[in-house]
Amino acid sequence: MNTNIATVAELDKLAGENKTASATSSPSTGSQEWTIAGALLQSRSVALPVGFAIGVILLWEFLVWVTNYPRAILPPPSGVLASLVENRMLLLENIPATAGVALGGFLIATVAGVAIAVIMTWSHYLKDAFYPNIVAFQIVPKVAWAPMFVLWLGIETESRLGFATFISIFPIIISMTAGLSNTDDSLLKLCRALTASKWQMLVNVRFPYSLPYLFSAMKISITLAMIGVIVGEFITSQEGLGYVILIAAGRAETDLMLASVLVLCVIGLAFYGLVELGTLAVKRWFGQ
Amino acid sequence: MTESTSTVSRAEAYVNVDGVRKIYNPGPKQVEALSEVHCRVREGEFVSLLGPSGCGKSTLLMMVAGLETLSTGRIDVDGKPMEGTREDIGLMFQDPTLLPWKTALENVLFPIKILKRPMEEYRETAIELLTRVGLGDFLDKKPSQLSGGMRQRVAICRALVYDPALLLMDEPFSALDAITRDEMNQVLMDMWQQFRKTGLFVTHSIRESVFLSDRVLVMSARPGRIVADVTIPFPRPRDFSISESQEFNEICAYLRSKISEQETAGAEAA
Repeated sequence: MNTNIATVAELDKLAGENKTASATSSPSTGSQEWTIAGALLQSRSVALPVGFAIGVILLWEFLVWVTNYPRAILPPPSGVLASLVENRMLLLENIPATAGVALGGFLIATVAGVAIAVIMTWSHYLKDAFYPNIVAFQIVPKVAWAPMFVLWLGIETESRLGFATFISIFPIIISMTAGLSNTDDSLLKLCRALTASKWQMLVNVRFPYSLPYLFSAMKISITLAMIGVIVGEFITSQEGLGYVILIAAGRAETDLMLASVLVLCVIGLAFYGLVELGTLAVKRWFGQ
Repeated sequence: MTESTSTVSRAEAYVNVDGVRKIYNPGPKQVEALSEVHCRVREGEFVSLLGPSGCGKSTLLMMVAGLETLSTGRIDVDGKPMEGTREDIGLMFQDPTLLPWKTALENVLFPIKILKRPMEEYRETAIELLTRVGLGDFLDKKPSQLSGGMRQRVAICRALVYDPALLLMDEPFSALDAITRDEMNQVLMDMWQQFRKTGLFVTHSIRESVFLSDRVLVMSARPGRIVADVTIPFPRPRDFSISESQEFNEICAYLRSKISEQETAGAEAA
């Protein structure tokens, strides 16, 4: 009798365990399916480009090793990595000069570019006078102006900051002007019907409406600011990653040149990522 | 059903449109959009401007709103001539024109912000309006989370929140599907019953104009002018059952004949 009860209890227990087992197993198969589907999707968006990049780096390493190519002309990726580790202090010391000036130039360009766009959309006369000239000027290769900035602002940080601002301000002005003048016409009519002032329309409607334009321009602008700083450092500088590249080139330390370029890539990606985060925040704010 | 060129005396007119013309590009190549429009709307009356597209009915509405200049003539609203836009006039467009980053409630309160009135005083009104149109549970939703009909309901609330005496509506439901449109007509009708504004409603839907209006003004093709003034006799409050009555359909048929008369006349003239 007693054993019988025990058996029943054990059976119950077993059944219970079975139940919990099946209960946990079914979502786990579910999540497994999800993982497989996810992995398939990710294999296209992440694994494919990453795999391709790794493949190219391995091929590069292999070819340099097989052909015994002169390191001064093309060092293998392992050499670049070694140089990165070896010169980490030098590289770290020179990051603030480059990243700081690029960020500074970018921020000044953003604020000033928005201000110029606002002024231009304020009056048709101003827009007609300025806008075609700005577009025309935009076509001119702006890098050609870099030596002028050294002449005007000296060989210190100011000239590089000035040039980074100059080179990165055009996308902001042009895109922001487009954004400010592309606001929904009916909405502006509604504002006018409500006897809204020009300032109220700008603050409450035009400016928020042009934020997506501003952020897409900022993505281009931050990249250009980086270019501006490096060009500035090539011309005249005693610090910064551009300066390191120039010195390394003089000494035929190609691995250090490439290591500096790698650091620049990381800085550029980080800045771009920050702007992208802002873009996502705006999209969320717009309810997209 | 009665018809005459002017059923409203000058003294009882809340909106008085007197000899208004609109001419684009004055000179040898001028285009006459409106020719000598006369019409009057009583206080508390709902009047539709019905006509084919391009007849200038929207232009006329924008003139009454003070958003469009007059080539000749004058418009008085509430005994005062229109010289620019005014706070006592509300507007609705074909699109809901909501701010995408603001919630339904914030969008309804947008006019209060622009008019610099105390926001807290109108919060309750705004919530009440949204609840009345069935959006009580959607106060914090952004336009992208609302359907087309819901957005236009928000736009109705936004037009009413600051209590304008005159409401001007420019084909507000023409972008909606037929079922939603009927629904919106009922919503507008209910709101109208409640708030009793003076209304001028532009549409090219005959049935919509008959269902909603106290009077329908039929406009001719370009250059637009008013060719018929038809009083709609159904008592208020109305519901959709009237649209099945014989009288409703007779009025619709009559209005249709007036419009096609104009179209043939226009075709012959051209």
